[in-house]
Amino acid sequence: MGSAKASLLMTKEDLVTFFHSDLFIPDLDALCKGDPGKDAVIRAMVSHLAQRKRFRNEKIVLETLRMREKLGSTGIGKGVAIPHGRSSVSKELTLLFARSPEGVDFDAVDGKPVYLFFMILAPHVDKESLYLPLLGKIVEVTKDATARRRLMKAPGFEEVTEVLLKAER
Amino acid sequence: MNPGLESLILLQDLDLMIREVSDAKTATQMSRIGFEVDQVGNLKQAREELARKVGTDLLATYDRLMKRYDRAVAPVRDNICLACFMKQPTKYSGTEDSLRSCSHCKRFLYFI
Repeated sequence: MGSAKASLLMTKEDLVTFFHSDLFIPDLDALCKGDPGKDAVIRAMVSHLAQRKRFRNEKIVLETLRMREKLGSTGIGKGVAIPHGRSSVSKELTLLFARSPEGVDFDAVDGKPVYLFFMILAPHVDKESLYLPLLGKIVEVTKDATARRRLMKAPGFEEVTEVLLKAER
Repeated sequence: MNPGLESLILLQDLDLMIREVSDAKTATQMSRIGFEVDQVGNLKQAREELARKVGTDLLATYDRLMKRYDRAVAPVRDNICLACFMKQPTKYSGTEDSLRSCSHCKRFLYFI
């Protein structure tokens, strides 16, 4: 994968500014008890964002992300998925980070379960054009196997940002 | 939110998504990042289904606005249409559940 060009525009320091402690779900499995499927985890993450007033209409965002998955899975392999999309009801570029200790069948390209989720939502007009660089940077950082392992084990939000800053790429 | 308005916003999101991934430059960028966006046919099928749900009259207005402005649905804040930046008549304010259009540019409006 050649994410270099898009991610060159964003540093790891820039990347961590998109992470917020209230947009971190350490245990998605606990939110999706009894329904650990792809749609359930997307619903849980969208609901988390809606509760934190990131947009007014949960249904529209959910449908947009479902449509995006129809284009091809955003499960990029090695236990990572980056569900993303642009929505008319999204006010600003938003990133949510979530973990599933058990792993989720997300139709990932390598057919393996997904443990790390980075959900990105953007408005259609992204004035600073940060949407693709943000996507690219997450892909790049999560290529580092040590970073992936440490992201899974990070006990809290502060440790998550430390791992991102120390990632190899 | 008004169900008709909800469908129109979704239709717009879907149309803009189809346009974005049909653009060769964007598709190449996405592919470089690591996302293959080659199932556009699935989106077009979903678009057809959604368009049927919207209904003929509303769809005709939506298509006309998309053709003219690139966006048929626009956010409204503080009673100002954020597409044409014209203030809406006071009688329009506070009616989130109704399907209404900008008094100036005629785009459908939703609260953001």
